[in-house]
Amino acid sequence: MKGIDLEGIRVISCDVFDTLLRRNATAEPGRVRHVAERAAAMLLRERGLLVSKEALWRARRNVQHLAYRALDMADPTGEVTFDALVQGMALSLGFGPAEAQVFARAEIEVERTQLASNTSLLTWLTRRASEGIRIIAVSDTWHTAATIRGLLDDLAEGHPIAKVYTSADLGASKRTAAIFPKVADAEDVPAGAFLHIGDDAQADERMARSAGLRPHRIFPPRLVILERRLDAARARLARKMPER
Amino acid sequence: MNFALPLFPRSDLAAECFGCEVLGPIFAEFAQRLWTFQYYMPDKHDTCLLFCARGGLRLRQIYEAFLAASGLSAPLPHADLMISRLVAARTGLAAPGPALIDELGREFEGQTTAEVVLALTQDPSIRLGPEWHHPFEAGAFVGLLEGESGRLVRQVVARLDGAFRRHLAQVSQGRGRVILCDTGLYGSTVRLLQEGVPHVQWFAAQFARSNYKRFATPHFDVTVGLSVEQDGYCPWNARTCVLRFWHLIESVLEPDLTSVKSFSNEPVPRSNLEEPGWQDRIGEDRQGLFTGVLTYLSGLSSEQLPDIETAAEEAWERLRQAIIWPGHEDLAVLSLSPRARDFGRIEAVHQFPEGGAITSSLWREGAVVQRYRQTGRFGLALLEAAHSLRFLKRWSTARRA
Repeated sequence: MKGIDLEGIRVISCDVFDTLLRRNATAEPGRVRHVAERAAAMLLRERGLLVSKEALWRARRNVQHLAYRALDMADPTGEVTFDALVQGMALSLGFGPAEAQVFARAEIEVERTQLASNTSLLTWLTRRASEGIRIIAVSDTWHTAATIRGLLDDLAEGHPIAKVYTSADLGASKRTAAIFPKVADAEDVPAGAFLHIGDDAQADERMARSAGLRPHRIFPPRLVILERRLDAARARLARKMPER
Repeated sequence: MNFALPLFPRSDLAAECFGCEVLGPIFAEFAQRLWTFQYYMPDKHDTCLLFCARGGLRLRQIYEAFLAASGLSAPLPHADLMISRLVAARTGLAAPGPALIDELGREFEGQTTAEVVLALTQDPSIRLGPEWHHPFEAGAFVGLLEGESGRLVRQVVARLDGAFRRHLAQVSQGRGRVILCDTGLYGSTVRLLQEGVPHVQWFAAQFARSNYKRFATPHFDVTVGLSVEQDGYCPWNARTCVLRFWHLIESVLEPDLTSVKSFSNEPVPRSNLEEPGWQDRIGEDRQGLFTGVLTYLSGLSSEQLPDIETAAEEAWERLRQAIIWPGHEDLAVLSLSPRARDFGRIEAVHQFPEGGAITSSLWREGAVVQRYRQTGRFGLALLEAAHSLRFLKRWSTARRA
């Protein structure tokens, strides 16, 4: 994090996933598959329901896809909430609120196993906080701020994050830059006094810049990127192979 | 060589069985996805789902059978919309925009402006001067329409369009956001309505979405293909097999009712489709395929909801086998009746045109097997190889763009 110009910066906002908390080498298809496996085991253990992991994997994938298609078509600046996602999934499968809770816990449990704190960034942020710069987190996610704070507290103990903002809570995302003015208003700090750190070229760099923030893009380690690509390819190949 | 008659006698029982075992899971998956898509639609209080005549009328029966079997409640109010591309085209005639001009240009290529007028007005008694009898050209058509000689045309179209707008207001109950549910593919209707009825926010949830003719697609931002979303057949994507034989989906879903062309002048307008007994005729199925679909749906229960997608995945593979590598039994089951060309015209297109080339068939793989009973499999392999190359070429062009 050397060479970052902090002149005039009063707030550092940080993306969460793959910035403050780094995902492991499991790509998204693999993550969804892990969620389905865990949810299937929990449904059997806690609710006595025998549902195949394959069925839950397909349902989880389709629900996410259709929820975002509906949103992109009707409200492109909005966000799907995690609660709505798991409730819709449970209902579409003929289940109720208790099963929706199981799906929610399965998701969070898998998140915990696949995330780790970005210690070098957090150390740097802690130093900036001690110099009087306010540190916040801004995440494009369907989770609430309370859930993200819970993950940070568990996985990055002693972190300097003073406040968490999520697209699900604010109904606005980084993808369209709509979230940044809302965060600036809530912090009562002009956009020009923000440094925004994140890994996504569109949401964290281009959109932050277009909203008047000073962006700084960070990159996951190359080895992790390569491993994820291999994992995604393996998942695609596995789908083509019949399970025996 | 005559393509007119199938080599094997039709078997309704086999067709019903195919409808139940293959098409049933595919349409159950569609209904489940339609439910999920609506569930996540924002602003539900101002949104409704309208099933477009004619294919949509059967999609509504499929959707309602799914709701009844699953015990799920509908996320949005729904109704039938009496519409066709012709009716949608009329909505934009007062101020013709690119969607209308593109659509008319495609539909009436090589025909005269007078033929376009006849389709739009459905009134052969309108006398048109010689200037209307030139080959259709968009700019000239707009000029004629706006001139004195187009006054009667404008009046007739405005009356029919006004009746449709009253019908729309009634079935949507004045809601500001409408999801059109239809079979597919390109979604001309939603594109035309976006232009012609701009005070409504339009969306489309189709069985399949495909820009198979590579036209402009500004409306794809609001159009989802719930079961299939590809611009062409891809040999390693089973779902895209329907793009090789779209006539099958249309035959399964389109009831034996006339396309919507006109409306009565009553306060509650009645379309020409709504002849006595029309609702009973939606489910009437001489082929057996649609009956099979409903049989499958009626046997579903809420306990089976988690397995619908997995069952559908297997059914898509079976459908691909039947369409791309048809055996003689598949040919017998999937030999279908001719269908009207639509857009206000009555001439029919045939699955296997009599005396025609294989390339003019609505199902080329079926035509190959029918014509070459012994060596047909070799022909199918060549076709599949050609499709693979074509897909890779398209894919590489898209990546370069």
